Amino acid sequence: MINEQDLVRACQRNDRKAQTAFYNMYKGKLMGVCRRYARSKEEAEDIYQEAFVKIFNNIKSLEKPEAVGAWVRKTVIHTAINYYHANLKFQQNTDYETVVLSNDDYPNILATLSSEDLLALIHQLPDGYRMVFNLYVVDGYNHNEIGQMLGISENTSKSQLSRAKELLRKQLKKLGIVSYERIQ
Amino acid sequence: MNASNNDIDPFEGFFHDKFNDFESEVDDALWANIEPQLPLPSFSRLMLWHLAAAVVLLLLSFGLLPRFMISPNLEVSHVTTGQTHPNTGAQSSNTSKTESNQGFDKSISNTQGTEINAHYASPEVAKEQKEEGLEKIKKANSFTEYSTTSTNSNIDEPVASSNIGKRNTTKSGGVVTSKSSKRAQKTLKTKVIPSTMSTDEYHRIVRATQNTGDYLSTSEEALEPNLEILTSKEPVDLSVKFNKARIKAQQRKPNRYFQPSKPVSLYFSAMPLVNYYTITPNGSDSKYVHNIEVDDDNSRIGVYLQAGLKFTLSDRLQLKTGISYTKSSQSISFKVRTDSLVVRSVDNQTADVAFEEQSKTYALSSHYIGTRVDLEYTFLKGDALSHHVLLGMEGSTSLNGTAAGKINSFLNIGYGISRQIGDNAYLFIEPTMSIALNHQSDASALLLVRPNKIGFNIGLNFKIK
Repeated sequence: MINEQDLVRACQRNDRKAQTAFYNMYKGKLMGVCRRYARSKEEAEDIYQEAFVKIFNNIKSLEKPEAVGAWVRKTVIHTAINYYHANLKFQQNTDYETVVLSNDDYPNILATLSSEDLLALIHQLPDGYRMVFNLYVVDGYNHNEIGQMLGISENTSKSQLSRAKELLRKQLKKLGIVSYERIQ
Repeated sequence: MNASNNDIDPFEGFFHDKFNDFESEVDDALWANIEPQLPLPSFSRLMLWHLAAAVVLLLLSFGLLPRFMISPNLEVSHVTTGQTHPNTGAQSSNTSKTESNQGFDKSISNTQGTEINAHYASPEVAKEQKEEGLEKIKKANSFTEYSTTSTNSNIDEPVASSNIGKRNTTKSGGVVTSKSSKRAQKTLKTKVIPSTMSTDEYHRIVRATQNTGDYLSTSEEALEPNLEILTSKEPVDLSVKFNKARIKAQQRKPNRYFQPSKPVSLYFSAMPLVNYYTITPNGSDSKYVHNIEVDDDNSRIGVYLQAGLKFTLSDRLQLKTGISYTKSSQSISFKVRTDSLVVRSVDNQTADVAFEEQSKTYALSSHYIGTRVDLEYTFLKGDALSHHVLLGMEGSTSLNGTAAGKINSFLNIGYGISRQIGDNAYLFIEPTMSIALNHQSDASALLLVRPNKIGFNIGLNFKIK
């Protein structure tokens, strides 16, 4: 069976079979990233397609095939950021009062919330908040890096993260979730 | 990265764990949308260019095309020779067949009828007849059955012309002279009859040959080498005996194949070029990429060298093919707008102002090597200068940088003036424009750049054939 590095090298030669295999290997993970950064599934699919085309067009520049996992993830994140840069008109204020969450009476909903449910909460965040929250909390970038990626200051990144978390807590509080424990 | 920070806040940790390895289902139709946008295998595209250029070069360099066109004549001469064989009366094995035939070629040329030789006595007529020789060979070979006399005369007219002024030039136009007949008989008497042949058989061969046609006038000399061959037990090197005839056959070839109007030239040229770029943002990036500028006009300057062969297809049309080297560089700056991150706070009372524009530069300095094929049409030929236009294609690949191995293709359009500066040398000046057919992009793929080229190509042509 062909390993990941050989697959990358074959993709660098634009081998169509290798590209198909590579796509199948990463499609689920990368769609997951796109879903987090996008507001809807349709937007996620747009970002996803654009990201994969960029990946295959630029995979030749990947000097370390062993780091391909981080590289494709980074490419998708950058594509998502660019996507929202390019769609400014959709990024105006969101009325948070219209957010509707179900299961208000459920006492301890956190453990039962699925990723899709949590995604629904994240999708309600303004674009800037959502970007910073994803970059910092899930993808592990620090504020300095986020500032460079988004073209904002480090302090702006910190404040947006703070507000994003505040919004999410409010939403979760409405669901009856007041404490958070890491899943072991 | 802030893994340590995530450990501090359980809220963040919860989301991190939930989404770090989050996967989502993918619609199969998406791959169908992505696949057509993927780059083609660069190897096959490169090979396509190189193979096409190599095939054209090989075919034209070795002259296979003209050879294919002329080759029936060569075949004709061989067939003609073979068809004279039954007339010799000396049937032999397959291996000796060729020798016998060549022997009679020689005999025929030397024993050409006096009528023909008399006709050739005039140099003008001889020249004229020589030119008609090849045509007559063609005609002769179109017959499947014909008389020996007519065949021989057709074959030998060009060759016979070489005998002008020699022993047959003073002979009269008679079919067989009594003098020559006597000489023949005298010669026959002095000949040694082959040990493998009876005396009667020997004389029968001589008589049969004498009775066949007008070339009998010199049959005593003509038969001499053939009979010697028959008598000899040792193999005879016919190439020595008939070397003269062979040389004549080979001399026709260059005259017919390589007319002065179809030379092959070697060309070299150099062109200081100016790159002018067609720069566009990549797809949806166009909404936030702006202020695109070429940083330094000096960076537009490059060098373009080429060398190759030029084949004359007709009086006015020539095919140029060769290899090219390009050195070019570029430095393009642009700005990326990031004001999209300006959002209002939840309470609509404050705003995060994050207007910022990132300045980026796309700089590249590359060496390219490529192949090109052009058609050149001469539309005006003067006493001193000739004018032509040029249209062609070029494929080149970068030897360094991030675009290494990627193919760039160009459409070349040019107008040129050439002037003869020596017996076989021509100087040409050719303003040329190369339009890039595909784009380059930087690592972030924010810009699409087409590196078009303009320059004055200056070079030399040398006729080599």
